Amino acid sequence: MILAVTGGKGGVGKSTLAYNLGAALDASDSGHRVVVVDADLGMANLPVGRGPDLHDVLAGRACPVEAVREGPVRLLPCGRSLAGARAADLRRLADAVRTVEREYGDVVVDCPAGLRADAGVPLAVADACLLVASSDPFAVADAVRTRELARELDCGLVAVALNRADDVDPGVRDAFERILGAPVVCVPTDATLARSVRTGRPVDTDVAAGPAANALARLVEVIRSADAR
Amino acid sequence: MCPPSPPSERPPHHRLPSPDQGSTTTAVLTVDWHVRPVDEVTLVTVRVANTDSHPRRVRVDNALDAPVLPPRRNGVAARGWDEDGVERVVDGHGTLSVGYACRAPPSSPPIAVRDAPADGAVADPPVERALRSLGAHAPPRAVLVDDDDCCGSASTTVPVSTSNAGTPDAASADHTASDCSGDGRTGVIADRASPTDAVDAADDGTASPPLAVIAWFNAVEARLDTAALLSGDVHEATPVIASLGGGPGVETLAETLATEATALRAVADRATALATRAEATDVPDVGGRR
Repeated sequence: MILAVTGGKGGVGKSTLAYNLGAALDASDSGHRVVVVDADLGMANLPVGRGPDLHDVLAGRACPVEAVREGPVRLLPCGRSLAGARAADLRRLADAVRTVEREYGDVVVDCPAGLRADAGVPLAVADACLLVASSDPFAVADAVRTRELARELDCGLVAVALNRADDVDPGVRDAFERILGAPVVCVPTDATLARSVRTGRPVDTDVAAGPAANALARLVEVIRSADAR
Repeated sequence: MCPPSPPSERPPHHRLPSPDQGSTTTAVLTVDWHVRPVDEVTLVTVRVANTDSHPRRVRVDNALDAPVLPPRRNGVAARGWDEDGVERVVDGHGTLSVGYACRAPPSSPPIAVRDAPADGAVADPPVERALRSLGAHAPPRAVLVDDDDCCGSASTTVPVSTSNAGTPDAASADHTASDCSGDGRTGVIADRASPTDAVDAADDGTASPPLAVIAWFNAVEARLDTAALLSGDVHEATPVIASLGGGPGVETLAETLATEATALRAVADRATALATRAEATDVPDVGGRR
């Protein structure tokens, strides 16, 4: 399965959720190993480290599998240079992601914000997408635009994650669910979750059992059941 | 446009004559249509089901007495539409649902359908659609700064567009630290330096540093944050060391920060000197000489 974690707006926590979902899906009993691909070519967020990265892969200088780093979360990181972003050929992304999927099993693609080609191509490659949005009622318009783009690119919406959603009005939650036509999971504000990318310590859904961990477990459940269909 | 159906196939047969809905069949297609007049416009909806296991190229032509007003996106007719109708590929055992408006009174049947084998043709792959229809992702050439190479980042080589702004492959070349000029600017920046390469002035008169400078500062700040995490407890430092690639990565980080400290001092000195000079400079008003 290739799952795109998308959302038209920047700063809503796509990378943090993608990172933690990678760990949570990996820990689930699917038997698949999970790789998180940081596909934010211009503004990568996930740890880079040394060695080839997605910029190198998309420039044809590295094999995607050799660019995967083992760690707390298995990552195919993305370079940070604008020159690398400019040299990246998005037409190589499909082959790269599918190669990683064949080698490992499941891929979570952290998509960039916006509605340009770098946001669209991961959706075109993915089997399904998870839409991340803030719980602000005004965010629904942006979410609908992203869902439309995913639809046009034959990428089904598997779930909506309302991030940093504390005390969400049930009416707002229902509106998101009704308008977007997919199950909505509210992920509450959580300090461990917020720090996880920086510290390299994803939320452990087996142990932590806090509200954020429960939300991640619920997302895993929804994604796995959709994948089984 | 697709060719007419082969002679061996049955001719279209219309059923259920009705003023506002009906069905048509061909050898392998079942077509249901529905019309609804709204003010001076007729809304037509058509559902085509392919009963064959192979894809068919289907052409739905409008039979009403006016051009089709097709669905539009951003003012442009959607893919496959023209003023006579729409052409699509319907997968084996797949269905196609389309609708359009027409400034003509309803008639029965409102459409004519032709189909032909799709000859293996399928709709454009989604990746091609995304690349063709969405805006280019690449950052503009003007923001390309090879600061990492100049300041000794962990990456070995970074491709930089040096010759033209065409395809990435054509424009890529490995830029190394040897390309840096003595004053710390890359050849790319030096080539492009012009009076317009100035700071961005905000509406309120304040000015922000150029994007390249902000990007560099942010990168240094991120490396400093990483270094700070290494000073924390074992639980916090271990994954950071792993993400850096172990001991060699940590050494590279230390070397990078040492180099950057020197570069930052040099930039600070140069910036102070230039700011003093800029404040003391009085640009003459040459408007009156014209």
